[in-house]
Amino acid sequence: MAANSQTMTAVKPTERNNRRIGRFTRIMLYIFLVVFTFTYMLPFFSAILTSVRTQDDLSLNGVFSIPNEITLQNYPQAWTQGRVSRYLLNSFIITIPALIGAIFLSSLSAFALARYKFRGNRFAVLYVRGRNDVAFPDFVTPGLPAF
Amino acid sequence: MAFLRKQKYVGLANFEKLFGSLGKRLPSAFQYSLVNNLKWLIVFITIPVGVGLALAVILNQSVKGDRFFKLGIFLPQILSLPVIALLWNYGVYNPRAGLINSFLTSIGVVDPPAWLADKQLVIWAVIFAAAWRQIGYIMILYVAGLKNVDPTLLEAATVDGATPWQSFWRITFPLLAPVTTIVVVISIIDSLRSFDLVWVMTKGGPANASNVLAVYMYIQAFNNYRMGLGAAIAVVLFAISLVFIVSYLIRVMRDEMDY
Repeated sequence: MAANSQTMTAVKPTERNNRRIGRFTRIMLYIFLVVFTFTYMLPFFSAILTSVRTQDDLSLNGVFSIPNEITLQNYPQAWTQGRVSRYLLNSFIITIPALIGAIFLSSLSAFALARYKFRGNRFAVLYVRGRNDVAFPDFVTPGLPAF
Repeated sequence: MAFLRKQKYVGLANFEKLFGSLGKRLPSAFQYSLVNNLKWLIVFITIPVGVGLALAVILNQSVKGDRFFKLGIFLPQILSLPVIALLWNYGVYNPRAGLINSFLTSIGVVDPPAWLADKQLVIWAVIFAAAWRQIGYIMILYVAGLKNVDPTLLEAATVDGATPWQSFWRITFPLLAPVTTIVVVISIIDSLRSFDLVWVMTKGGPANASNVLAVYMYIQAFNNYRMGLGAAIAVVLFAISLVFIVSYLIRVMRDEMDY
């Protein structure tokens, strides 16, 4: 009956879970998670660090090194010489109408497809859903005659 | 307007050309592409799925700060593929200044490999970057799946003296079977779709060593202007994808659309 009374006293789910694995395992798990996540995010960190370093410093010492000097020059340079200002605008010009159009059309058609039964109803849903899974260039080829 | 002129009908010549090029002593570009897609597929249904599941199970144990870990691991998923390609191309795989090689040099390795210029290594390097992105996605799918596992079952097993290992393989994993099916099919479809990473990182090079079907098709159609051959590759790729897409959709239809 000892085991029975023990389960009766368990209240909070976190406490319950804590009891399932030992303290030592928990600490090892935590160390593993911290190391794994840090290693996993290294490409991110290195990208951020690279963005504030000079080209000379990078080609001399490589990405995996302590920077000689920190510079913020890369950002205004990307904005003007790299023409990020224009490209960002282009991204918005594409994204905003596409988003509004997609939400508008898909909410209307989703309602019709979900609420009304008609011939080809299921096929329409599956076609739209399945089209997402085809390799992108497969859509480019139908436009071939334009060449 | 070339397509309006009278064209010669070639029948299945483009397909014959593709499949006739298989099995030669020097592998053809088509063979490289097929094999690389297959390698991609095998890695994708094992490593990201295994790691994603392991992380989901660990983070489900009410770990402190689990949101931070989930966020960090999911982060690559929100970047666009060309950004990831550039990140790995210049940040990680660059033969001199890249993260890996500057680390290897700093610990005294004299001649570190040129990851994206080596015919043997290049496809694995690209697949690794793709898997890195995929892990977060798989992990989130499994985290959602684990939320639906009834904790009373696990408690009952603990009371009956099951070890955590046993209760995982006998209870949690079988209950996750629907999620696993979806995850595996998604991984297969994603591996057949692979285009962006290869195109930005290597353009299929060196000497087709990292070519995949989608990239090969694009090169034939839009760089070499061999539209017929390009379309034939597209049809082959589409036929392979269709097998998996249809089986996936049938499953989705059964699970979600019972009305």
